[in-house]
Amino acid sequence: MIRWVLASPGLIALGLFIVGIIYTVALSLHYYKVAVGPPKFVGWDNYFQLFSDPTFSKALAVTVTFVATAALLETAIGVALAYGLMWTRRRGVYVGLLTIPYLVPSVTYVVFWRYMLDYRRGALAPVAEFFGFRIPDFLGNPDTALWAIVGLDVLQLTPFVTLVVFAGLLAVPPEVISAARIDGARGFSMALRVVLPLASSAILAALFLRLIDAFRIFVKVWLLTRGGPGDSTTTLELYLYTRGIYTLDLGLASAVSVVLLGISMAAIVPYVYLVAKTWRA
Amino acid sequence: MARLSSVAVTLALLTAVSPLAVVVMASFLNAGQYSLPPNPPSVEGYAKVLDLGIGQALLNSALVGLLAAAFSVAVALPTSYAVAKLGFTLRFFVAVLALTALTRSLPPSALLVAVYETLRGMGLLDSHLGLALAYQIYSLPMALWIMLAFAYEISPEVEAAARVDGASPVKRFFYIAVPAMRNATLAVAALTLIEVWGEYLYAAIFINAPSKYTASVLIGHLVSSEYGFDWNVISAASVMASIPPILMVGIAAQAMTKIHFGK
Repeated sequence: MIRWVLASPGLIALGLFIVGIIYTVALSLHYYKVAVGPPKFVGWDNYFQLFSDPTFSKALAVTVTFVATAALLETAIGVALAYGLMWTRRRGVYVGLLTIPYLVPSVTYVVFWRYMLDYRRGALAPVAEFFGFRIPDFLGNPDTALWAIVGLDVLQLTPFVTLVVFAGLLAVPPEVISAARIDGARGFSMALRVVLPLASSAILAALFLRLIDAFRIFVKVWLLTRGGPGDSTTTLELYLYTRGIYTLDLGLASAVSVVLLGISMAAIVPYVYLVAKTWRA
Repeated sequence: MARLSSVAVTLALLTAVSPLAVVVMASFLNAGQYSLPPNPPSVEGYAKVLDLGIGQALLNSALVGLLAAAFSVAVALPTSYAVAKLGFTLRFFVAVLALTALTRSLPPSALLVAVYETLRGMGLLDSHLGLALAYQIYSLPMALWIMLAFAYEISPEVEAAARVDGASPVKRFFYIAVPAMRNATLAVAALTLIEVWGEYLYAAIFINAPSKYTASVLIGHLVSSEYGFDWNVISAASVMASIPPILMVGIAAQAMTKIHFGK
């Protein structure tokens, strides 16, 4: 059948993703250091090793904290901004400008953030000095380093949420808004009871996309703190990199990957369900 | 309300643009300077970063991005057309779409070992071809995602007319689907380039030779090297790496608002 031939490249590729996951799960049950020799089956050993390592438990907590706070903050602020954008003119220009942070490579944001937060030789240091105080060393303090990274992520990715939600708000029929206004809806009641509920699918989509994407934070953490100070900003990705990939302990790395997959499924499964529901309707 | 909303919009635009503006200003600082604005402005940072090979790195990023985009388009075009238009059921279409959404959502770090072992087996570690193949993890699901939605919208009348005239599926693919999906192809190519351009994890792990570094990796190395506090040098590199993706703002702004549920 010719239609199967045409369909096959993409279907095979999707199949390879599944094979990759199965391979990772299988390898996680093996001891496999590339320098030592071929994989050797060891059952759950890698997982026992992981869960007896306090740094790993910390990495789990750091990852979940980061993903949840960053995604929720970005969604909340993004929705508010999108709602504000709805009532202004010249939206086309604004949409273009709000796209820029998504286009700029993350390393540029890292450079920007290092420059701003450097308390000795940063952009804000002379300003602070002028007013007679010193800016705190946010990245060097284990209590604030993670929040400094969350801040950078919010700065870069809130505009993305704004754009997605804004597209959803544009689909709200103007007649509904006029009718609500005649009925006396103003300010917050207009926003919370009329407009935003009608854009709920776009808001949910934005939230899930941010939750899913927030797991991919490697470059910001690695170039801002290397997971430190101590292990205060070590995410699962960093743990995977420093303990698994860098040392070529691929069995352990696979086990970390499986845990990472498992956690991210909490955001992925509902998202895929929503996608399927949208299309079947 | 109107005043509140214009305050919000102004604030949003300022935060969206100011990081780049600060980095642009910092790139004109003199060596050892750190307070803005640069006084007097100097292009020393740019001269230095050209010496350090940013030109080659930008070319490398472009090459890997274009390769990755070409692979994804070549795979996703025929598949999306066949799945949407060649008599498969809607249930099958939605199943493929859901599988695409799933693969698009997997954390790329979770597939690192599988990709690493595959590239090692094929002898493609430390090569741009290998990196472009690895990037299919990012770009292929996105390509399928966008193209499935576009293929679904191809006019059934045109399809039916061509079928009645006896055009084979392959002919219809080349003469109807490919031209009809021009915009989707453009969007996929642009989004792949943008994604690959900013990607760091895979590029840092799979590429070792400094002459093969992508722009993001080169900047990453500068940041963690002796240049880490030469704001003019690392800012100049960042500015040069930020310009190419920004040039695609028109295509990206259109595509981005459509990528949430694909519909």
